[in-house]
Amino acid sequence: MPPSSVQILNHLQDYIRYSELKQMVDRLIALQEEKHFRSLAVLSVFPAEGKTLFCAATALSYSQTRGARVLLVDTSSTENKSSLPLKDCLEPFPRGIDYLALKERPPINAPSPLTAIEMAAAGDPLVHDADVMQDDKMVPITQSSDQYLIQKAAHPRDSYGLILLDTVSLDSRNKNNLDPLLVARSADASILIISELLLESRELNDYLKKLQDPSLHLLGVISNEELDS
Amino acid sequence: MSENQDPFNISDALAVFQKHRLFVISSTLVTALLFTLVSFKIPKKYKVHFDLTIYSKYFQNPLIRDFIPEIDDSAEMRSQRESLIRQSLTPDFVDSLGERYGLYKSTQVPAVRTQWQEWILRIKSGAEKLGLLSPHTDTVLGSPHAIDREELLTHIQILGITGDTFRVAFVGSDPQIVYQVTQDLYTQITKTLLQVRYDNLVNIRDAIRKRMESIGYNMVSAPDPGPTDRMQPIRDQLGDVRNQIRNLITQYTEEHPRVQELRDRERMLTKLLEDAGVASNDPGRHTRGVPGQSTDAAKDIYSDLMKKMNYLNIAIDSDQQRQSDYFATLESPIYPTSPLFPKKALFALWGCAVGFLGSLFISAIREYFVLTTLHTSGLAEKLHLPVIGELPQVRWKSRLQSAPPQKPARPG
Repeated sequence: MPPSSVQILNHLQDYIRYSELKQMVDRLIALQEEKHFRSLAVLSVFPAEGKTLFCAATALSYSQTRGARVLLVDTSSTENKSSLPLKDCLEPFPRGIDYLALKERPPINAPSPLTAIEMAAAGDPLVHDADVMQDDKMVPITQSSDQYLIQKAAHPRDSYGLILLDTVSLDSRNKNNLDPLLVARSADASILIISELLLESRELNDYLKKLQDPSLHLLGVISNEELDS
Repeated sequence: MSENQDPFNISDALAVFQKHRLFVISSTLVTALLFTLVSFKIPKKYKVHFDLTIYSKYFQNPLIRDFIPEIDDSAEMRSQRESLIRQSLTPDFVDSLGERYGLYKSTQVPAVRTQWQEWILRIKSGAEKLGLLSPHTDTVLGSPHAIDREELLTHIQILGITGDTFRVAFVGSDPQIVYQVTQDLYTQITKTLLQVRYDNLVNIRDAIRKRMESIGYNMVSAPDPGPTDRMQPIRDQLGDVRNQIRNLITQYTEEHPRVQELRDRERMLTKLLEDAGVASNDPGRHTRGVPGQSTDAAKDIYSDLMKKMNYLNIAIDSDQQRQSDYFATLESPIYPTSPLFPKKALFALWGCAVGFLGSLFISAIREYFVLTTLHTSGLAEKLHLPVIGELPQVRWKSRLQSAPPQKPARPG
């Protein structure tokens, strides 16, 4: 019988006690103070490399360590059966952690118990903050566009200490998903989760070329590699 | 991964051993134990040997230097020695060994063969039928024990230690049989050495005797004013024959072929003397000598041959009495107390070495793969990014998956 969300949360409560995670969060906090970023996109090349686990554990540890609010944004629009849903990791969400799933885009005028972000996104008039290239032509960012939602999610009005954007894998071929590279460019910074899947990949060099794009604002890498002791 | 790798040094080897010490030690012990167990199962081989020195004087005799050329060349003497030793291993002798000690497989009772040997024989016969192996049957070689004899000879080792000393050894699976066979080999070789020398001398003496008989007969037939002079050599020869018979009778019976041969000669010489006596008493008898050969020359030749025959007899008699002067046994056959192969201690040592080196090699290979495997740090270096941290590797008791999603209750 699969564990319930409460059990996952209990697992995570134990998980964040590991010294490796504490050191990692401390390092993130130090980097945040150095680089002054608030939104952090979490990238990986392949699914099941540990993005969601990292987001959930880091959110929990960060909020407990700094006492600051954390916003978890799930930018995936389709469920992968083998993936761990971010929402289920922390539900019921502890105090200080908010959750936003961009796939659950509500209609513009539909009343619903939404978070501040969603309400703001829903209530904002049509804005023309920027133009983006789409299908070889310039189009304005509209409320229904991915770019708009990501921008809003990555830069909310509320004062969150940290905004973690969980993305789909770079290798994902699902058309409905938000482009993780777009999410990374929209965020203040991004990090890359590395596991054996990427290290043993034959197209490693191709992926490295994609990741060397400076617009991704990659801060560093997180190792999710099982090493021989 | 860093492109500039440090050269390998001894401290790296020690580090590898330290890291994999449990694996290395356990592998060493297990392999040593395995090798020791195998040594108990492997059929044992025992070896018994003796060292025999054949002196140079065996090939020399000043008394008969005119007849038997002496061998002075050391290499030739060495070849002669080895030839004499190998010459003693006659087919009859080897067959006698095989049959006496049950060393011939063809004489073994089928129940003696193990299951494994039966399977091997079946495979061999099948291969011969298919033409994969050339038939190697006794009928092809024309002898009932040719194959067994050939195989038994492979168990006999003849090794030259020095120019005049040879080691003869026999290898087998039963220590008692190996010891007895080696003793038989020793007896056979020494007997053959003496017999060959004796036969050489006797053959020469017989040749001289035949020549003397021929000359003596002619001298008897020629008109000679001195019948006693003519008969004296024959008397001398008769005396010599009788001496030989007397010597041989001490060792052999009358039925011995050599004794009988001498008896025939004695009778012939006696008859010659009798004929000569009759001829000398008969004044009317006219006999002629060999045309073209003077009596004086024949007498000279006869006396010379008689002298040489006397020397030969001396040499033969002295050989009979001083047999031990021609060869010496440096080491006699000794009953084997431990097998030649396998030696359990050596096997255990080999097991330790194989286990230790093999496990070290495997550990080194594993370390190499670990070192050459790309890790996060190497990839971060390629991306020119720092490693911020690592996620703890925890073995979750159950897969970290949530329950099936439930539809959220909509507020009314």
